[in-house]
Amino acid sequence: MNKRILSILGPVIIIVLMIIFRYIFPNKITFLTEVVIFSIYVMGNNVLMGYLGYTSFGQPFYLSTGAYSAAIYFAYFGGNIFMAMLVAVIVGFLLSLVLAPGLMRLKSSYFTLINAALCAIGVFVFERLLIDITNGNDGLWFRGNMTATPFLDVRYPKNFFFFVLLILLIALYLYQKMDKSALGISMKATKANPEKMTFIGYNVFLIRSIGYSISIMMSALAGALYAINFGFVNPSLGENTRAIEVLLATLIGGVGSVFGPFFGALGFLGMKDIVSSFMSRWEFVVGIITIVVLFKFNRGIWGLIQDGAGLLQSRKKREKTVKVEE
Amino acid sequence: MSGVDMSQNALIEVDDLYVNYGKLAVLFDISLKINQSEVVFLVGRNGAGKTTLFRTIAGFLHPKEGEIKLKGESINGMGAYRIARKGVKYIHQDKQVFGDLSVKENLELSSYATGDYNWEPVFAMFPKLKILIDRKAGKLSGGEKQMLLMGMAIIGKPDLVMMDEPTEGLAPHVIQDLAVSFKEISKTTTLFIVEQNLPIIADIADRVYCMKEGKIIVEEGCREDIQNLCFEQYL
Repeated sequence: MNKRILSILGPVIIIVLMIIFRYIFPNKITFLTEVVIFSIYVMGNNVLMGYLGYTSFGQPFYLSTGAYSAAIYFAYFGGNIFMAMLVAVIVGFLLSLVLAPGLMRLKSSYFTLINAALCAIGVFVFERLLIDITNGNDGLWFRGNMTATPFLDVRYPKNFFFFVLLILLIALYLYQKMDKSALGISMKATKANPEKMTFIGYNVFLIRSIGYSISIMMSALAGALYAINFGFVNPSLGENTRAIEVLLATLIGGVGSVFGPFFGALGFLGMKDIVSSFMSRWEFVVGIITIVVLFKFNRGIWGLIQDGAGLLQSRKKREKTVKVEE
Repeated sequence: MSGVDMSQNALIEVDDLYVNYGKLAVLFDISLKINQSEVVFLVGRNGAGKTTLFRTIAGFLHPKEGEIKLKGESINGMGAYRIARKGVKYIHQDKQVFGDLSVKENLELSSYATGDYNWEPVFAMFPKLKILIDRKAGKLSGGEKQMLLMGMAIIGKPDLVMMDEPTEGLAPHVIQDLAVSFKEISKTTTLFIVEQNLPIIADIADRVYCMKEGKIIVEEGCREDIQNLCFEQYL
């Protein structure tokens, strides 16, 4: 099959799956929209964790930075949704330029802890330091300022779902391209053996910094989409207790894979949704299921799907061989 | 070491080099020279400082004193990746390839770094790599990994390839094949090799440096003496 068609096939299957879910469960549109946005957020974390080998407890900080960038734009500057998303991504990029020189020289454990500290700093900044702009704990409301978008007014949840699906499709396509590109291979090789990469002639710091920037920009984009979806933001979005959610979703989906983040987001939010409907401390059950998944299936849901597909293929091959022999 | 002739066509010149690990001095007053197209071996017992010297030339350690020049230009304090880009490739002792990547992806990494996408010289020297092109590098045997590492090193036509104990732990017939490859590579590239295998040294070395306790104690440049392993008494 044509390579270009193959490269778009995976993302398209995921989008079609989500559209089918949307019509099978029409009253779950909020949940499905959250899965799509959360997938983009997990994809960002997967760049750090799966491609560069960094575990970050600071992703909520980057998410809330994106969300507040969009919210502040809506509240004080304009109502264009595309511009808000662009502002969030640019702020994410600028933030990565400031932080990468320090963070990308750290070992993973220090990186993890400093990122946790960044979350605490972020909450303080948005809640106290910028209270005149962000309204502190009351949150920043701006839904009324958002203007209609041409062709499809994404201010309505039904339309917004298709809008975020389109963004996910583009993100998955580019993510797949990145995975097979020089950058993707370099990042994976840097994770495996940074010293050897240096022997070959790679600037490992630069590779890590690029990966880190991609991760922050994706988190900021997800933050902006959350802000647009809810029409308001408050500092709790950036609390470091929420960092575990994106880490678990990355692990459940399959670390370092292209499609793992989507299945991780769907699996994690699905478990949370189902369990929380019959018990308030959903974290207990989700925690146990996560431990089982990670011990028994450490390549995550995507690894399971790949293994299943591999088994089917080998069975088909065997059947063909038997037929030929007959 | 004294009496090193720092002539004009030297590829690498190391002059009065001192290297420390923190406060611990490990290399003392090292001076050596590697000319273009030479095959130079570095021998010595474990702990003599051979790998430290290699890592210092490759830019992973910075000298406390002394100077390292590449084609007349000082590379003291230069980052390891920049030295690699200047044409000095270092194949580490541990034979580590990128195990999760395929042979093809490993070679691609070298191509991306050097901009040289012509793999014909690699396949001409190591035809087996062409057969194993889609195999995960982690599944290769020790000899195949060494071939891959050497293949990756020669992409981009480097000036100098430094190999740290390339034959260590390999079967005798693989070592023989590698010795042939060393000769082939040396036609276009200067080789600087840490090696314990004396027959190989006797066969292909143009010059041998012996190290002991962080110092170079002997430089042997006479082919006849090398073939007779005259330097062995210092090991």
